[in-house]
Amino acid sequence: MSLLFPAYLLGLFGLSLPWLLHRFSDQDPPQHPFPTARFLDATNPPVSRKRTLRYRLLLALRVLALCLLCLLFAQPWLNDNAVNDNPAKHHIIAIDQSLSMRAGQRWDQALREANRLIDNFGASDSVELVGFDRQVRVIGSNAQHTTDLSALLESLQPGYDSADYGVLMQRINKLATEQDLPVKLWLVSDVQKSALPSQLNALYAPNVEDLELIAVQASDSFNVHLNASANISDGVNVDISTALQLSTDSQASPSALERTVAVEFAGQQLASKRVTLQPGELEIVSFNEIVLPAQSNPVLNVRLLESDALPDDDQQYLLMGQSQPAAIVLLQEAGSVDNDATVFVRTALETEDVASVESVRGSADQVSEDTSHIVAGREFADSVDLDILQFVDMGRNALVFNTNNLAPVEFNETLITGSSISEVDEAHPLALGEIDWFGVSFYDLPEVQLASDDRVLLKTSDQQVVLFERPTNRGRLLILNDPLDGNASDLPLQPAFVTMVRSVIEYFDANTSIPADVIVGDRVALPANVQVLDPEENPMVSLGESSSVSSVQFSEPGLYTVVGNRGEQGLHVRLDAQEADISTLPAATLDAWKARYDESASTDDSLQQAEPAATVRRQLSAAGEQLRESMWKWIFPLFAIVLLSESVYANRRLDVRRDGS
Amino acid sequence: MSSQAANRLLKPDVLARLGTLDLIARTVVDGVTTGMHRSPHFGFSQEFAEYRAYNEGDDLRYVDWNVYARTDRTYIKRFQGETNTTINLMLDASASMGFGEPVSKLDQARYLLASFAYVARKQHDAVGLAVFTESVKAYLPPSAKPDSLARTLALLEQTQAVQGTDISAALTGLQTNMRRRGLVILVSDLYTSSDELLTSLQPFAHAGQDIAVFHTVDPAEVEPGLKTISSLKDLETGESVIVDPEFLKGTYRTRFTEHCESMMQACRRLGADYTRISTSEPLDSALQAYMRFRERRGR
Repeated sequence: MSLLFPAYLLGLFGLSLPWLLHRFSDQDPPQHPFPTARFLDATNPPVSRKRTLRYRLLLALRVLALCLLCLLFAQPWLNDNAVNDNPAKHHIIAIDQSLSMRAGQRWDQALREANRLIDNFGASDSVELVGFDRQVRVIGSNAQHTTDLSALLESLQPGYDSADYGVLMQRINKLATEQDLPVKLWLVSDVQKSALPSQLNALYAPNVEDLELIAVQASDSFNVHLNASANISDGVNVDISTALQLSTDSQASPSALERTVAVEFAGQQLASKRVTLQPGELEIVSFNEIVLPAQSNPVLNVRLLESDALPDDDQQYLLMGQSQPAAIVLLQEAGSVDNDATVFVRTALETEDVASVESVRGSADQVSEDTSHIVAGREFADSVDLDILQFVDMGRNALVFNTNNLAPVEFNETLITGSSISEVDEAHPLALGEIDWFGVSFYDLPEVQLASDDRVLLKTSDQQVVLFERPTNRGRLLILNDPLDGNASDLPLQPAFVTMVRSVIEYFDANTSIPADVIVGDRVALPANVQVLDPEENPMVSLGESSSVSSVQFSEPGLYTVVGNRGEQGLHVRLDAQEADISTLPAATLDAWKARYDESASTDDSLQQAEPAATVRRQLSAAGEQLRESMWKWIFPLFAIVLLSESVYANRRLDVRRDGS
Repeated sequence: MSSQAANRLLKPDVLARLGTLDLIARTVVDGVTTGMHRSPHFGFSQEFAEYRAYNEGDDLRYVDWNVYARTDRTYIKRFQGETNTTINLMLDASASMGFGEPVSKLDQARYLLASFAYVARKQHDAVGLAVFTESVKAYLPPSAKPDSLARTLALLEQTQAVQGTDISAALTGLQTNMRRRGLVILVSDLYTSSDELLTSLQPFAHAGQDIAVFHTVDPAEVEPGLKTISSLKDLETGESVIVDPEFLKGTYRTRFTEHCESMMQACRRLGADYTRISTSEPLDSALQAYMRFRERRGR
């Protein structure tokens, strides 16, 4: 049993005060010798009546009631561990599962150390096992049995993600707040330098009372990290730049290392170079004018021929010519011929192969389901045509330009000089603020009625709306208030128009484009009806899930395949360069980290005073609070019964006294 | 030695450290007589000792009128004392005499009587000592033998404060042994009634004895300084009385003063000298009182 507020038990001492005072009070006056008593008169002695306890049961009831009251204020509570063996501390074993733990014998050492810790803890210790990299996962605790933790530990494997000690400590700190016992953290890790957070204060978890760092290191191991990029200059030759970095976990100054970098395609070596690497220095190896294999979307493999501590980061896939233009339908009215506006739009869309444009005459209903984006010219006053809205509501996107070219009502200055763009919504993802609007003049823009929730993106200096977005349920609908005929404005004639159209396409494509290169642990948003195949060609998302899953996280490196509306696309998941750096923290940094907890342990009392709320919060942890309530439930009825009995006895005694007996 | 320093030496608590009564008595007597040309034993014989300027209060019988006629100055003739009288010292050794800190009334009485014996020995007087409580506990008949002083001092040193007091019973027995006229010196705390004291000493007075009564008191019994209700235990009877400090400040002091007054009145009725001495006071005043007493009695 524990007491939430043991100070209230001092009340029990208060009960004994009268007895103590009586016990130690000296009732006999001091005696002094005196020559003679013949002149003395005895003074009336101090009043001291002899009292006899007559109602012992009543006294006992009252004392018991006061004791129970004190106990109630002290708020006793129980928890399972406390009832059985009263553990003194809660131990959290955090084991590093990041990529660097794959180097050498680090993971085996970590398992041995963690097992040794689990074996050394007594049955009364509360132990929790936690695995971490960029995320912290609670593996289990010894709430059931100690052997469970060992079994859980054996099932763990190091991953490919990077570690961050700052994230770990803050997460552990949060876990510690849920504990009602002092928390000690046993950190089993390779104390990797790159896992250190930029803010060292993040290493301090105030709710963790003590920290023990158990460093697992494979001395004299080294790792070379490879990072390659390709640039196709002329469509035939490719220039490959490879960055190599040597890291080692040896504290002593390591020597230089020679390695061979090769570029391969389909198992055939296209080029190779021998390079000397110095520890900690970045070495760039360039392969110029490698002829692209005669194959669509070839994948080149750049790799190191010699092995090292982390073989997973020794190669990288380069996906060539994967970029595909976005498919866009230019919607025209049935029976119409190409006018200036359609020419301007088509030209802008097809510049630099941003999009492949297909003209469709008729309504949006006639556009194939594979088409995600349309550009349409419609007369627009206040509401968009229904077919466009239906198209957008299917999760697709439309850019509508207003062809409502009415004659000017009256002549004004703007008709001659034009107005420029004066207001840009720079917060919008379209990034219109980055476009150079200088020289773009607007003369006679159509009148348009904005809805209340329309978001104006571009506005002229005479407050005419140029571009705005109308919210829809699923897709995106942008309305360009310009007939694009070259008369109302010179926008279609300016370079800003091409840039704007490109931004619009990128904005539309943001939902459906898939990056070609991600880092392990990243989560990638998936368009609807997209299938992802892992390096072994196994689907990561089932067909049933593909319509509902919105994102997928890549936990292993390799060359993945994404199959969707745009066909097949490669996706290279590479390792984090920082995590591949296996150099370890210097001893001084480790000492400084540990010293924070030594200081906090020495000022433990002051910390508890400074954070009484945190202490109480710990004490009011879920389990403890439930069981404390149960103690309350026992004591309070007992208190009530005792009070009732006392009242009955007291009343009877009063009756007796009233009767005069 | 200055008189002030001498007085300091004569304080009872200082004397108590001196050890033997012999040394104490010598210190007291010599301290008191310091500054005199010879001894304090002037005026009791015909052997001329010295001249001294007349001081107010001196006995005119000893003025040398011849010198006055020649020099027109008044001088007193002093004589070396060679008297041989009988001195009976009587010491009350009841338990109440043991009261007093750091010097008890009994200690004070012993110092005083030792001093008297020392002076008497110097004057070749016969000295006797009677120690009594409810009865006579020890008695040394008056003797002028050389060892009389030593025996007296030895008996004084052995005396302890025990039992109660019965002056009349004790003194009645002594009176029969005192046939020769002389001095009777009684040192007691006089816890008896004035009538009883009168009855006890009257036979001595009627027998022609000159009587001096030294009433020893302790400041703690004159003005008890108790601050809380206390139980006071009678040293003689063992009776305990719970007393309020307010009573001790008021009624008790009045009663004690009246008691001392009654003792003094009784002594006067007998023609005896009455001197009250406190255990906190130097002994010189008591010794000087003794000297004056002897001078007045011409012995």
